[in-house]
Amino acid sequence: MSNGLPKDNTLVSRAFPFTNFVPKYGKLGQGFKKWEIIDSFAHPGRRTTAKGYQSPATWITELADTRKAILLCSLCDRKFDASSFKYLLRYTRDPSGITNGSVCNGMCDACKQPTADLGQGKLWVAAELWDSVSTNPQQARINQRMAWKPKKRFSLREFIRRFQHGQMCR
Amino acid sequence: MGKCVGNYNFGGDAARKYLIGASFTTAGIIACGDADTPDALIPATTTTAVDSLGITLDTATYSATPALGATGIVTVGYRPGSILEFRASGTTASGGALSILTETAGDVSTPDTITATLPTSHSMVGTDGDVPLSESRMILTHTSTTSLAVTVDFEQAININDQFLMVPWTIYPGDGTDTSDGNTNVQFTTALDEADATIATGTGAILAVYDLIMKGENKTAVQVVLTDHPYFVVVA
Repeated sequence: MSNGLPKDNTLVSRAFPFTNFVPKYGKLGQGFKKWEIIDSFAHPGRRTTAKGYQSPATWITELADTRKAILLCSLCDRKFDASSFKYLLRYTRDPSGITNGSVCNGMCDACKQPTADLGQGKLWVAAELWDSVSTNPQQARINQRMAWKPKKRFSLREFIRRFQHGQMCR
Repeated sequence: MGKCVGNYNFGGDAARKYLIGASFTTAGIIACGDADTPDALIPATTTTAVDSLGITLDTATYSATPALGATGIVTVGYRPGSILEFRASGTTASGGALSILTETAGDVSTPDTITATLPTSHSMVGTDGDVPLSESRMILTHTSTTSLAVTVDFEQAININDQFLMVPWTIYPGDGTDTSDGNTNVQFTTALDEADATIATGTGAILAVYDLIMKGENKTAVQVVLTDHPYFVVVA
């Protein structure tokens, strides 16, 4: 009699007519972890299936129209015209100096690849929300310039240059 | 106006878009999971930040019956260890200035005593006026509404009309309890984008106070780290 297996006893993949629930972790009923539950609500990004396919440009335009933040890898970032959409780069401090403060990683909204594998990502936010969600590095530079300046030293070369300039202007 | 100002593990931030279970009308507020229900992301409340994932970077409107292509999504900077900075508001609504405490008696004792109309149960005092802004003192116990003694003198003498600011947070753990320690609680304003500095120390959402930026009545801010972050959980 045949038991459904080939005679050499190799396993054959078969479709079983029932659904089998397997506990995810060691104990039955242990359930999902909190981060797994929250991960399940992550938005998949632009649609890439045959039904309802969206091109990267369409999805980025849609995000910009609804003023959503846009995360792009370094390669897609070059194709994004932030100023035309009135978007600004989000800045976050990184005291370690590992990044320049503009790095934000995740899934690229255009190519759907991990930005960490594509030269790091950048996050663009709507200009009207920028003050609310981004630190302003420019302010630190302004404060630094106002803080102090070196003592002016007498330079003979500078004196001669100015004197000659004055002679020529007469 | 809550914003990520770094990460105590260093490096850049990470962001992701999530489906929402309630509207996020303001950018820069804490987004929380609803893992016990479970449901999509919801905003923190003024007094809770349970399963807090990170800070929102845009706004979103929730609808149970969204139109095609209009499902509500919000972008969240979700990296664990993010240092989130919230401006301190002197009112329960966002945008309020902190109350300035004006000295009425001058330096009358050692260590210093500030004599002014004071809020009760605040745990950190900063200075404005004659005493340099960078000087601040932590207060362990305080209930009086008229005077306040600090443990360590200010470097400069307190004069009449010197001005002080008080906030209900500290940068050091006090007594270590969740409900009374100024290091572990921050309450948010009604719009959720600023920290409510009018509350008593030890009330509000359970978070870790990372630093205090004492910069006068309008630019004082509290920096916090989310302690109930889902990615900190190792075992369900």
